[in-house]
Amino acid sequence: MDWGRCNVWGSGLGKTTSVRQFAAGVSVGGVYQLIGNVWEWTSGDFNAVDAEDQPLELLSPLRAIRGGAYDTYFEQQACCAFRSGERPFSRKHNIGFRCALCACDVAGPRPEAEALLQGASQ
Amino acid sequence: MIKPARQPLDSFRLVHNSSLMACYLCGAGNTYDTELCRDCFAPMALAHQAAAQKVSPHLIAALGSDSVGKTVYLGMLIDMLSRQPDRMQLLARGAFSINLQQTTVGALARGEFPPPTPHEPEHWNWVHCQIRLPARRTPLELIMPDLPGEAVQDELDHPRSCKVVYPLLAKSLGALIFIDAARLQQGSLDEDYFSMKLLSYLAEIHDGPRPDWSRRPVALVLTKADECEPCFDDPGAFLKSRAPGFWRQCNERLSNYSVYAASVTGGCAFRRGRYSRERVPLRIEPRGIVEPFEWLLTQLGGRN
Repeated sequence: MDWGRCNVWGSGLGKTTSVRQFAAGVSVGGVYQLIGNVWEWTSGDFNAVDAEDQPLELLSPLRAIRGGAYDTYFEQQACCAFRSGERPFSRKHNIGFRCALCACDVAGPRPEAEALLQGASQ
Repeated sequence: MIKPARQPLDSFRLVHNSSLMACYLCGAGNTYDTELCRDCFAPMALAHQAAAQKVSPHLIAALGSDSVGKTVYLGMLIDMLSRQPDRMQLLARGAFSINLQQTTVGALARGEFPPPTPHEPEHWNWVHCQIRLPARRTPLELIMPDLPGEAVQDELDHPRSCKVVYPLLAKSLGALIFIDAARLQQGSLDEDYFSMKLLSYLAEIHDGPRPDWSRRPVALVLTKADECEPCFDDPGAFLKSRAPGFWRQCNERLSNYSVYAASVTGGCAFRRGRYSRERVPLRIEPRGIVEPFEWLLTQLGGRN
């Protein structure tokens, strides 16, 4: 992993940074800091399994968090495939969220789709 | 028929075995090629290194109850200071000093905790390292053994029964005392009692020229603090409210101490084994690991 492209423990900053930092690490779609800085809440449940896919016992139900944070020590825990869990009402120094909207919700009505819908209703 | 032959006399090669080398910890005499002290099982490499470098390393004790997290803390601390030398630089002396780091970080990377430190002294991990601090011209030489909680508990119950613990504590210039914050949070008083016993034991140690433990620096480290966030906000207040007996003893018996909260994981789950339940880390995000050690070194540095 190139530590200069994201804010994780190996990058050496030791604290959160502005979302606009690490321009070299933007995704193909131009999204900043999908990896590192703060873990991001997801709406999904966290079903913990160990390295051999055996289920783990949790003291309470957890929600999944993804992406790693500025203090994530191992690079394999700061990647898209890795998930961790946290109690839903927990507030921690290294967990945040990202506002996300589906592209179809902001693109506005498409004429072809409108015509198809009108044809179907007639 | 016997032919006379001239055989060179090589007995001079054994001369180093005739003089005994003192163990760095307990002072017992050992032959030159002994690996572990015959009396206390400390690595003789410590004595060899000290003699070769003509310096006397400082001893720092890491003490706490069973499963409090000493091995994980020490292994993580060494790995962090080895990988990121901005605050202070750590150089391991001797290959044996890297065992603890390797065992701990290897296990954490696999998503598990390292195995408990064995009770037998010959299997303990010892760390001899050199620390370079930005504000200090000469480096500090340190020796830190990873003592199992059971051995400390046995020594508290039966003083001087363990040949390592007493000489180590008598010679140590400072200590890291670990207290399980998660157990305190759950209302368990075992940590409170163990720590009180430990302080009482330390108060009874008098070792010639060294100051009593009342004047030696002690960093109190609340481990597993990720399971109770208030612990990070004010570790002293947390300790005072959850371990009142220990807190009172600290105020009465120690004049130079500081309280810290530390955690290595960001959360834990449990794996059901055949006979028991085993904790496994969900993610590794060290917090508050370097601070207590840095404070302790600052206190030691001020003494030299």
